[in-house]
Amino acid sequence: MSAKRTFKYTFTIMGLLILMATYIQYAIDKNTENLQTIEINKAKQYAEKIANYIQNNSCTPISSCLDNSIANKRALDKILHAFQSDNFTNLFVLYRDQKNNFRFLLDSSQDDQAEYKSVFFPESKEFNLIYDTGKPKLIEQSGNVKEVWLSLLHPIMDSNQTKALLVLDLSEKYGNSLKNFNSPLQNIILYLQLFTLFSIIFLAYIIYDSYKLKKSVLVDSLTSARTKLYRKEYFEEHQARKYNFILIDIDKFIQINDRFGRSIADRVLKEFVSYIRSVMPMNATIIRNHGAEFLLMIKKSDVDIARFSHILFDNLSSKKYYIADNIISFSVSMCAVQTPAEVKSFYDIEHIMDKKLLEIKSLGKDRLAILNDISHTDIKYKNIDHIKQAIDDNKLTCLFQPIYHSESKEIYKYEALVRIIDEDDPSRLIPPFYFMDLIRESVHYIRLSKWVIANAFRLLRENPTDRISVNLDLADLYNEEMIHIIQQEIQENKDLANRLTFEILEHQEIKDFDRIDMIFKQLKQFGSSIAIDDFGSGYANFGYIAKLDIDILKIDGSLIKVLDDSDTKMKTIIKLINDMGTSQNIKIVAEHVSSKKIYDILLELNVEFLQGFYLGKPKPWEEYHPST
Amino acid sequence: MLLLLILSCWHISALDIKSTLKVYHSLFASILKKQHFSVYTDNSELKNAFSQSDKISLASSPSSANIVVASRKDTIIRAYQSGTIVLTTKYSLLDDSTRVIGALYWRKGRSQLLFVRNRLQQQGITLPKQYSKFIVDNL
Repeated sequence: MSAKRTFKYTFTIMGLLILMATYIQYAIDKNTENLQTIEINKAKQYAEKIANYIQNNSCTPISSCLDNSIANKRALDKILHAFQSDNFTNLFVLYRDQKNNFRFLLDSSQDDQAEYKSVFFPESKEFNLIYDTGKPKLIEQSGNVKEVWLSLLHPIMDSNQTKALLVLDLSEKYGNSLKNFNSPLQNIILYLQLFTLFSIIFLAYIIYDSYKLKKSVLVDSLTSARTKLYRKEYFEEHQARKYNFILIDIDKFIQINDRFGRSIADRVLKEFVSYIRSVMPMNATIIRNHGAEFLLMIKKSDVDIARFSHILFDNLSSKKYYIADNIISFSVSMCAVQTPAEVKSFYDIEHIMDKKLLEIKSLGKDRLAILNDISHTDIKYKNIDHIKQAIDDNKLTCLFQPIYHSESKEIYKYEALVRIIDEDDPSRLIPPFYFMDLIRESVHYIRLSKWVIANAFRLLRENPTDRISVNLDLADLYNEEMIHIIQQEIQENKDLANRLTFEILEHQEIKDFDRIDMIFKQLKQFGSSIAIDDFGSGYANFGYIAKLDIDILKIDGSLIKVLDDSDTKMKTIIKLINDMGTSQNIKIVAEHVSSKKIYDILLELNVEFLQGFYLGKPKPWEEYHPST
Repeated sequence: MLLLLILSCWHISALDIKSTLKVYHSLFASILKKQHFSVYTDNSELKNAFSQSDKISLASSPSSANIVVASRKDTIIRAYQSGTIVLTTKYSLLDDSTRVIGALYWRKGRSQLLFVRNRLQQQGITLPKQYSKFIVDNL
C-alpha cells in the first residue's frame, strides 16, 4: 500500500474515531440529562403526594389548625422527616402571614428544626409567585443557597387558594452524583478524544516529516532537477498523452569528468540544467534520469515540440561553459517525442525513446531525432507487457508463404511466419519486426517459438502431403532450453519431422562450428532439414557449406531484388551459388521474387525453389488449403 | 496535587471571609452610621474574619465595643449591662432576648437577616431602605 493511501486511510479512521467519540459524548450527556429528568420527576411525585397528604390530614386554614394542635404538628413533622434523606435535604412547609412574610409551619429536620412560625426569607421571588399562582414549580438554586441544588415548590391548596407551600430541597450532593453518574465513561471518551487528537497531531508530524524526506529524494541534490522518483511518484502515468518528451544525453560526458575533474564536471551539469531551465516552458519539468541523461516533460499545449527541440539542440550543441578558466563544450544526443493520443502510459514511449537515443548514439552521437509519427503498433508492440499479454492470451497466429518448385510450378512447402493478433482489432496482425528484439532474450521468446513449432507439427499432421519451414535464430541454438523444447517437439512428432525445415537466420558469426554442427545433426535426427537463411549477405557465407551439414540455402533477398535492374553481375553470383549448391546436393531457394522479370531470370538460372510476393504472399493456412 | 488542593481551599475560605466582611461592613455602617467600628464577638469564625478587616477593630469586651455580635446568651447579658447594641447569629437568641435588635444566621441553606422593628425603635436605630424588607413587627 502506498504511503499516501496509508495516510488517507489512517486519517479517515481518526476522523471516524472523533465522530464516534463526539457521538458517544452527546449520547452520555443526553443520558445524564434523562437520568436527571427521571429523578426530578420522582421528586415532583413525592412533593405532590406529601402536599396532598398534608392537605388531606389537616384542617383549614392549616396555620390555625396547627396552632390548636401541637400534636398534629409533631405528627406531620414526623411524616416529613420520614421523607427526608441525603438526597432530599430539606423538607418544610411555609405559610405567608399578613405582612407577606413567610413563616415555618412544618419542618422535617430534627437536628436543626426551624422554630414554629419563625420568619423565613427564601432568597427567591419565585416563592411569592408560586404562592400567588398556586402552580408547583422547580427552582434551580443559585450560589447564595448553600448545599441545595434544586427546590421543588408545591402549593397546598384549599378552595383554590394557597394556604401553605411545601418546599422540597434536593441536595447539591445529589445533583452532583447525578451529573457525575456517567463520569467514568465521560473520562474514557475524553481520553479517547485526547488520544485521537494527539494521534492526528503526531500523524500530521509524520506526514510533514515524510514530505520533507520525500522532497529531499525527489530533487537531485547536484543539479536541482527532479529525480526519476519524482516522475514515478507525481506524474500520473495516464497523463502521458498530454505531454511531449525530450530525452537529452550529453555525449562523452565521462571524458569531461576525466579531463577536468569531477567538481568541474558537476558544475557543468549544474549550468547545463540551469540553462535548460531558462529556456524551457514555465510548466515544463526537467528530470535527471541518471548520469548525464535528462528528460524534459513539456505540456503539449505549451510549445511546438519539433521547433523547440531544434532550437534547444542547436543551442546546447553550440553552448560553451566557462568554468574555472576552462572553456568547455560538448555535443548532445537528443530524442524528442510527439506523444500520440493512443499512449496509455509513459512507459509505452519510454523504451521507444531509449531505443532511439541508443540508435542515435551508435550512429555517432551529436544528433537530434524527432519522433512525430509513432504509430499505434509502435507504442503497443514495442512494449513487452503487451507482447507478454498476447502470448499469455494465445493471441498468436502464423501466416504461410509458399515456396514453389520452379520446374513443376507447384508449391513445394510453406514458410511459417508468426504474427501477434491485435487485441483491439483482430484483423490487424503484428509482424515480428515490432516485438522480436524485445523478447529475444526472454522466456516469452521460447514460449513463442514452442508455439510456432507445435503449430507447424499440428498442420503437418492434418495435411500429410505438405511441408513447412520454421525460422530459428542462430542464437537459439546456443540456448539449451530452446534446444530442449525443439527436441521434445521433434521426439513427439518423429513421423512428421522429415517434412519440417528449420531456417537458421544469424545475427552473429558462427565461431563454434563443431557445436552448431552437432546441434544440426540432432535436429536432423528424424529427417528434418536445415536451411541457411539470407545466404550471401551478412555472416552466412561459403564457409558454412564446408563446415556444416546444410540441406538448403536461401539466397538473400537483397541479391535477388536487384535482378530487376538487369544486374548481370548479380546474375553471375546467383548462378555461382546455384551451381555450387547443386554440386554439393544442397537445395537452393531464391527469396523476394517480386516480379515476373525476376521470376523469369531465376527460371533461366535454373534455381530450383522460388519464394516471393509475385508467387504468393504470406496468407493464413486456410487460404492455401480451402478444403481444410 | 495536595498543594493545589490546599491552595484552592484557602482561596475558597478567603472568598467566604471577603463576602462575610462585605455583609457585616454594610450592616455595621448602616446601624452605627460610621465607617470604622469596634466590634466584640464570641464567635471564633467571625473573630477570624473581623481580624482581617481594616474597618473593624476587635474589642476585648462588650463594654468597649460599638456593637456586639453574640452567639452565646452570656455575651448578650454582658452587653446589656454596658448598653451596647447587640446582633446575634442565632434565631433562638433573638427570640429570647428583647435587647437584641437583629440576627444574621443560616436556615435551610439560606442566609437570613432579621430585625425587629420595635427593638430598633427602642434603641433609636434607623436602617436604610434596603433593609426594610428584613424588618419584622414580631417574631
